[in-house]
Amino acid sequence: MTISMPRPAASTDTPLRLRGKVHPFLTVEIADVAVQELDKALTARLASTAGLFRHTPAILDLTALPASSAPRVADAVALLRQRGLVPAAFKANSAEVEQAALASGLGRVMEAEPRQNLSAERIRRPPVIVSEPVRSGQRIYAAEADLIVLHSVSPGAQLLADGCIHVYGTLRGSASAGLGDDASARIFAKIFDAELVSIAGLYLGADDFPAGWAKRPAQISLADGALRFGPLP
Amino acid sequence: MSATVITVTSGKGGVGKTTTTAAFGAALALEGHRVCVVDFDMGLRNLDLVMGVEKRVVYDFLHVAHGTANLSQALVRDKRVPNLFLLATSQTADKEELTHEAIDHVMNLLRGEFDYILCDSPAGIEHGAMMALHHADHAIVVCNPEMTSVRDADRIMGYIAARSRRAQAGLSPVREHLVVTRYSEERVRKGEMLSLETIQDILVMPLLAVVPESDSVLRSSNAGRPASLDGKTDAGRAYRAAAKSFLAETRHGIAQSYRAPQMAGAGFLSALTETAQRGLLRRLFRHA
Repeated sequence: MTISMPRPAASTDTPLRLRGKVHPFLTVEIADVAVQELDKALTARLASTAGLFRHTPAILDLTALPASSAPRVADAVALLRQRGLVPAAFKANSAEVEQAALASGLGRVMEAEPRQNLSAERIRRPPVIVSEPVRSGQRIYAAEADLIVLHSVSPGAQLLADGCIHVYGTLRGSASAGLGDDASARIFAKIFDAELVSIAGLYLGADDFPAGWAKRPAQISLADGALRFGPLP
Repeated sequence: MSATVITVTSGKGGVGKTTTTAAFGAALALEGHRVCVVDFDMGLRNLDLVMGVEKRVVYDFLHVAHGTANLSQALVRDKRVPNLFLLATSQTADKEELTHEAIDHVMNLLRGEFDYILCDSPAGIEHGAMMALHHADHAIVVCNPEMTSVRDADRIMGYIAARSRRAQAGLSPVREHLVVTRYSEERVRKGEMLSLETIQDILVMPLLAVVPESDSVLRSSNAGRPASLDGKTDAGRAYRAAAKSFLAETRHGIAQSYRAPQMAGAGFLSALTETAQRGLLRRLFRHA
């Protein structure tokens, strides 16, 4: 017969338990400055509250430090320890800073989201060219490229591109350009009659289009945070 | 004998696929060709009724596919038009029994016997419709002059371009022909129906025929007579002209291209001039 009991805390039977509990932590954000500057700032900050932060564990946010500042990390950590803080873990963007922090005995904070390498170069391939009408229900995605359609696009069809979209016919479906977060992408249509347009994720449905562009040549671009309609040259 | 397979499809239901299959098929046979019309609407068998041969159907498509009957036992000969035959579908079987293998087998048998094989597709874009268009060399896309049917015709054309055997084998594409049915000039004038120009602007497909709204179609259907058998009705004339036009275009091997509406209309009208259908010409000239 099994009797179910509430789970016991660590006891002589189970000396060690690993639990994923949440605790609030003081986070110290450190700028890319010399240790003397940090010292001065810390003195000023802790002046009136010297005793308050003694023995307080802290997470060091080192994300502002570039690789070249890695040698300073050890001194910064020592400084904080001197003032009574207990640096426990860190966050860093650079591998060198990370190594220095680990060497100082700090733990690495687990990232909730994967770090985006935002300075990655944008790849552009040759344009995707479609020379038949795009039928209702068809979806065409030009990855890392511009999309050029040499015909009309039916209502219910979807055009998607990381780059620009050009339609040398009537655009009646939906067009989403700049999918890889490229705000410089544009949409060009010889005859504009779209259901929906979007650039870099910012979209506008047909009901919200400005007046006067239906069935006319048009280009749509993103400027000052809004979609702009303009004529074709 | 290398047969030409023509699938009659639409996407939308009730626009005139079965009527067109029967009428166009009969018209091709009247021009002297060996024609078989094949019902692909398993479970909703209609083509045999419209052809007026339902009492003579003994074996159907699945019997031939499974080898229970041979093709000649299943084919029903039309008593009015020489060289016109029907292969009915099963009314009781499950749609899923219509497999690729079954269809390939029956189509191969049919190809050996006929000049033209017309496949009457069910409505929709599901299994039955996809099976019907799989073997197509030509597709006759039927629509009414109204927005939902034009939208569905557009959708089915996307499928033809992607799912046909020709598309998958990289052969030259299925040739598409538009038939607009239940057309009424008066209602177009009033703005209640889409004009041919609007339809062609959206569908961008060569126009094969415009079949006017006609009481004669319902009468033909009830009587089990393909609408083209009566050459005196407007619908009958339209279907016969369509057959002649189709034969002329395909005989001369006119290349499929996305012609502007004016050109497609002009081609259609010149075929009509040959047959001197004055009444229809006068009505259609305005829409060229």
